[in-house]
Amino acid sequence: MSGNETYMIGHLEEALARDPRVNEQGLHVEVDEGTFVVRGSVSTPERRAGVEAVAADLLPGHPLRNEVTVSDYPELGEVEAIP
Amino acid sequence: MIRVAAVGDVHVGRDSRGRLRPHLKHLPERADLFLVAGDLTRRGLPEEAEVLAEELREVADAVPTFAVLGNHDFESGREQEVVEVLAGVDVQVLEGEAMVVAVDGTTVGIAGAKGFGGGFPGASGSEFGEPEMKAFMRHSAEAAGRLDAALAKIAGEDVRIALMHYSPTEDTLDGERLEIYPFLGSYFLAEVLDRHAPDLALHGHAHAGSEKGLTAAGVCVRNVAQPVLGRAYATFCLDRGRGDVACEDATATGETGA
Ligand SMILES: [Fe+2]
Ligand SMILES: [Fe+2]
Repeated sequence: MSGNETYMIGHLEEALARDPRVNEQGLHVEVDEGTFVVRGSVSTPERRAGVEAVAADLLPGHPLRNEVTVSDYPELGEVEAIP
Repeated sequence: MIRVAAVGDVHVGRDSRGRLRPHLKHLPERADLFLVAGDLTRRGLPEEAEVLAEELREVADAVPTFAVLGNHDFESGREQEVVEVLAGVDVQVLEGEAMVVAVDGTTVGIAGAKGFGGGFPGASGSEFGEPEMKAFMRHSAEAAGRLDAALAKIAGEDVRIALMHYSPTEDTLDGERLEIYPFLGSYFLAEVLDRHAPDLALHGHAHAGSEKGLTAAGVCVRNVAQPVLGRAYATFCLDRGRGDVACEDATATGETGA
């Protein structure tokens, strides 16, 4: 990975945290043979699509693989007894 | 017996309409109160709070519902409006404040404060050097001070619960990168918890952390960030007060529920 790519990872993670289309601090970016790969989860399909929009604005022309998932949390019935 | 449902980090935006409410359907049968541990909204806008208010309206109608703010709720500098919108559906946001509710004759005190980062013993910031660093650590100390004040108000209640956004322990950060621990919580909060020894301390914020922890003096800490739970909310049962149903029975009932 080039030094340039290392800093681009930092800037893309920063943009994903700050940009209103995503606003997610928990996403991780790696570079796999020139392709930027974003992983993690967001809570809506709109924010998942936002990942691609933010990356396209910040890193135009760089290939991106969006592996971000949209989380959906089921209502479960278990109870924990606190001692 | 007191049953508490809790979740943090729902990060509700204008794109979240209808995504939360369906998963809270059975909450009123399963819990006596509902606590929301901050990062209520995506960027702290009143419009987002309106969406959250609609998602919570039914639950808050049925059970007392309390919340603290998280860092996301401060992003737009309109956190006071967020608080007001939620108050409109009877969701009380607590910051350095406490509320008491009675459940079948048992009093439950909820002490709420957002908390802040700062780090943990051996790897903590200091109020030293540049003004920006001092401001960071001063906010951490003040945030813990507000938790202290809130807990002091509920000293006499049968059940006492601390509600925060930031973590008081490293235990519940397990899974996060060590480098960011100082942004995830502060031992100042644990110190306050140990002084008051509440029955349960809840927080969120550490999405990649883990669920269970203890402070040095043994206060039970739970990270209820929704990504950590992997479910809509956690439910806790505390065998305290004057109720005659034991948690064991409640747990059995809960497991059979759909
Ligand atoms: Fe969060
Ligand atoms: Fe947070």
